[in-house]
Amino acid sequence: MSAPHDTPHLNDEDALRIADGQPVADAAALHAVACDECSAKIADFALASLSVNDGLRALAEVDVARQGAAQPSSRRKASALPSAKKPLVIGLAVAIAASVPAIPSSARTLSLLVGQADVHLDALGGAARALWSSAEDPALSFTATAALLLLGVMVAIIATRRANQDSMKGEAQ
Amino acid sequence: MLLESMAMRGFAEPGAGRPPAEPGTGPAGRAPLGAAPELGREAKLLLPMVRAVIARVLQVSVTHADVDDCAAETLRRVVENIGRVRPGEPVGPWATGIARHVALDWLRAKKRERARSIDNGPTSSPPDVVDPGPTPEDRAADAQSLHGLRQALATLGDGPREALVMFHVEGRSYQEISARMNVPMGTVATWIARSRRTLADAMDRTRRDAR
Repeated sequence: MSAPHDTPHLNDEDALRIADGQPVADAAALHAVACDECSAKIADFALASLSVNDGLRALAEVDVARQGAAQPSSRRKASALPSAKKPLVIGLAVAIAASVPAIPSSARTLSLLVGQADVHLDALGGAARALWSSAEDPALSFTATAALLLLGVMVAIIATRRANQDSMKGEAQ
Repeated sequence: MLLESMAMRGFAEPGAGRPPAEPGTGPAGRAPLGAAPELGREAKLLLPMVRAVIARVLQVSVTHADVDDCAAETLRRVVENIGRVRPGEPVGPWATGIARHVALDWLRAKKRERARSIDNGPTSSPPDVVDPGPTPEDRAADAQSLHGLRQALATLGDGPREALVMFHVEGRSYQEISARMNVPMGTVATWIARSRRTLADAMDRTRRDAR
């Protein structure tokens, strides 16, 4: 079917407005649903609009994500890595407050600890001697122990860093 | 909730929730423009565009009966899902996507029906298994086309670019854009049409180059 005889073909502006769902005169809307030529024009505009719409919205989403990732501000960092100062101060304050009732007897406790210091030192020395005597090469044994300790510390540091990076990535997404 | 958002967008009118007939099976699908007397103002605004897109995909006249059926189904989906439109997303392109999808489904259903009738049995012909998702090549091409889009966007003048972003990203109507930019509505339409053509060409070009 071609154009209805009583109305002229749509101009580009009306076709575009129809394609974008914008209001037009009733005569234009009625013509659009009856004229293949104008309908084809509207379809072209609408499909172009759809493609550009998807692209622009995707671009806007990418930009928003980038902005989020590019803002490692102190506030953002604070949310990813909560400061340890505050809980430490609070914990210390609680510990001091809790120890107040024990102050009168602290002198006696201190003297007890000092009195038992030789026992603790003896135990540590015993462990060192045992380690020394159990290995064929004591120096190697101590080096291996130190290396193991160092490895443990490194693993702990790397794991903490990775966990922090993961949490920051998660927030960026 | 749905009714509230529909009312806000001009969709909710008495009878809008009435279940429509299945495409191709009932009289509701056969009514022409008046197929949506119960739909709101915005759905009526979308109807000519919906019919045009469907006619283009089906490659039939805009007055064809299949277009009526698909248009009724599209508007049913639009009314049912209007609450899912993301903030700032213009309804026009969103509805265009639904219309295209409905028309493509219609074509696939017809193809299956034809295959079944040829094989003379519903079980003898396996259904078409088409992955609707993008392939890795499509994704790469899309990423390239986004790059092309960004470059093309930078070449637009301030007015056209602003108008386009207001429409597609902020979801503003032509009238709102015209008022905010203090330019006639015709200028807004011209800016949007020209810049859209520029961007679409750039996207096509980069997509072609990527493949």
